[in-house]
Order: sequence, then C-alpha cells, then structure tokens
Amino acid sequence: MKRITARELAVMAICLTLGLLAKRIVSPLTNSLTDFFRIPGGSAAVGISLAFLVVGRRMTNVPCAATMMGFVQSFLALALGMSGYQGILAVLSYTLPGIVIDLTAYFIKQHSMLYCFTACILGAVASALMSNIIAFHLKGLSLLLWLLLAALSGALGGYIAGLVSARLSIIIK
Amino acid sequence: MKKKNYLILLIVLVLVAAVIAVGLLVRNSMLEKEKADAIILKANGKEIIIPISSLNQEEFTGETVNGKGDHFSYSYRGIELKALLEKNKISPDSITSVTAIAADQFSAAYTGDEVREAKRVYLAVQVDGVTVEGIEKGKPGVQVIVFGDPNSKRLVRNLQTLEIQ
Repeated sequence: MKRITARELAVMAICLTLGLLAKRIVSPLTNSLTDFFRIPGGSAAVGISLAFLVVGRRMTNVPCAATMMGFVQSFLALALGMSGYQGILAVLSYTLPGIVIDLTAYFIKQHSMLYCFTACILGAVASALMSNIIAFHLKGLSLLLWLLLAALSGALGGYIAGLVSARLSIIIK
Repeated sequence: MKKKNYLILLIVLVLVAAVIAVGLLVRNSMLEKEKADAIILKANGKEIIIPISSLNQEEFTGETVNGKGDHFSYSYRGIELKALLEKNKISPDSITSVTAIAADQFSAAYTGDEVREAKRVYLAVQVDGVTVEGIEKGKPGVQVIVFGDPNSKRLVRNLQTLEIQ
C-alpha cells in the first residue's frame, strides 16, 4: 500500500476544512432557494462543499482520500454543531459521498474535468439521498426536487473543482 | 469550446430546467396544502396564510344569540380578531370593515368599531373542548364568534378568508 506523504495529508486537511467552511458560507444563500420551493435546505449547498473533496482527491492521488476527508469532516461537523437533525448519523452522510467520489475514480480518468463533474454530481446525490433517509423522509416530487437540486449543485461544484484543480496542479506538483 | 464542455453545459441547463419545473410544481402543491389547513388574511393587496393550528391562543367565554333570540353560553379556544390583526402588523385603528368569507362563499361583514371593541369578535377553533370542524369532515375549521350579536348568521362557520378594508 502506498504511504501517504505529509504534503498529501496537508492538502487533504486544507480541502476538508475548506469544504466545511464553503458549506457554512453557501448555506444561507441556497436556503433562500429551498425556502422558496418549500423543501428543507442543505441539498443545494452540498455540491459546493464536495467540490473541495474532489479537488483533494485529484491533487493527492491517494485511493481513499475523499473517504478519509469525508470521515474527518463528519466529526468536525459534529464538534462544530453542523450536523443538524442527523446527529451521530451525520458520519454516514458525510462519508458516503467521499466513498462515491473515490469509486468514480476507478471508472473515469481522475485528471479530467469529466471526473470532477461526474464525481461531484454522484457524491452530492448520494449525500442528499442519505440525508433524506436519515432525517428528512421526503417523498414523491419533493424528493425528486431535493435530488435534482443536489445534482445541480454537484454539477456546479464539479465544474469549479475541475477548474481549480487544473490550475492548482500546475502550481503544486 | 471542447465537445466535453458542451456536454457539461447541456447537463447543467437540463438540470436547471428540471429544478425550475419540478420546483414550481412542488411549491404550488405545498401552497395548496398550506391553504387547506389555514385561513387567508387579505390586506393592502397582500395575502397572509395563517395556519389554523396557530389560532389556538386563548380561552374565552361569552353569550351568543340565535335567530329566535335564545341565549347560549359556551367556552371557546381561539384568538380575538383584533389581536390577530395586530399580530400580522395590521393596525385595527386603520380598518373600516372586515369581511369573513366561508369555504361555501357565504360571507358576513363586521364594522371597524366592532373589531376594535374589546372582547367582541373572535375566531374560535374549539367550542367546549371540541375542535371546530371544517368543511371537510375530520379536518379542523374556524368559526367567527361575535358576542352579543342577535344576528346569528354573522357567526360564519368554515371560515376561509378574511378581507380587511
């Protein structure tokens, strides 16, 4: 098994922290959208947060980097009171998208925009599904909208992740 | 622009269109649901949706009079109309009349003086501990109570809308 270098750990730590911070910053804005549609907030912000996990995965080349970042993020979210109604089960909803992002790398070349885009969408949808199972229990059209918003934010997050990581990979080698 | 970028742009546009279409459907159905268990307060060109559950504020008792002149005394739970208006930032001093419209379109009007008079016009959600029933059986409803009014037709049942003039 490949050893994780100190540089890779540092990149992962920065990315997971930025991911949490991004969620906190973007949430009030996305909540105004979900309030308009009268569904719970959260799913529309998840993609922007996951963008940093995708960047971390792409920058480090560690096979389970996103899973580890998601796992650590879940405990940080618990410690900072960001887990909402999910409580300790937030560990699942934060770790699952990481697993999905890591698994996507086995099917799509990691250093491509398509990977960032697809991984972020799938990760966001997985996270939204898990949150719905744990806390929100939405059904029918509300659930469809919840997942579509997650996919849209994942698409935007993935595109941002692709652009950012392409620029960063030139600077950080 | 690369082919892949066009694909990404296309996916984003499809997602945006789907979110708008499904979002508006969800919003409309949620609004319908909210209105079904609520009364609507129309004032100054605005509509305020007030959930029936939020009207259960205080207990009050008083005498109502039926068409034959018989007097009845009940204990109610609900809210004074004046208090409801103030809660929704409508000054009772500025109104000339209030029209209550029932679900079956029956309506009755109350003067500004009646509304301003203390302990006169109430909205009741419970009568003697029993929940007031709405137009749909088993669903909660609201009844306008005007104490001391000999015209019992003004005790509008199945209240749906209050228009403030």
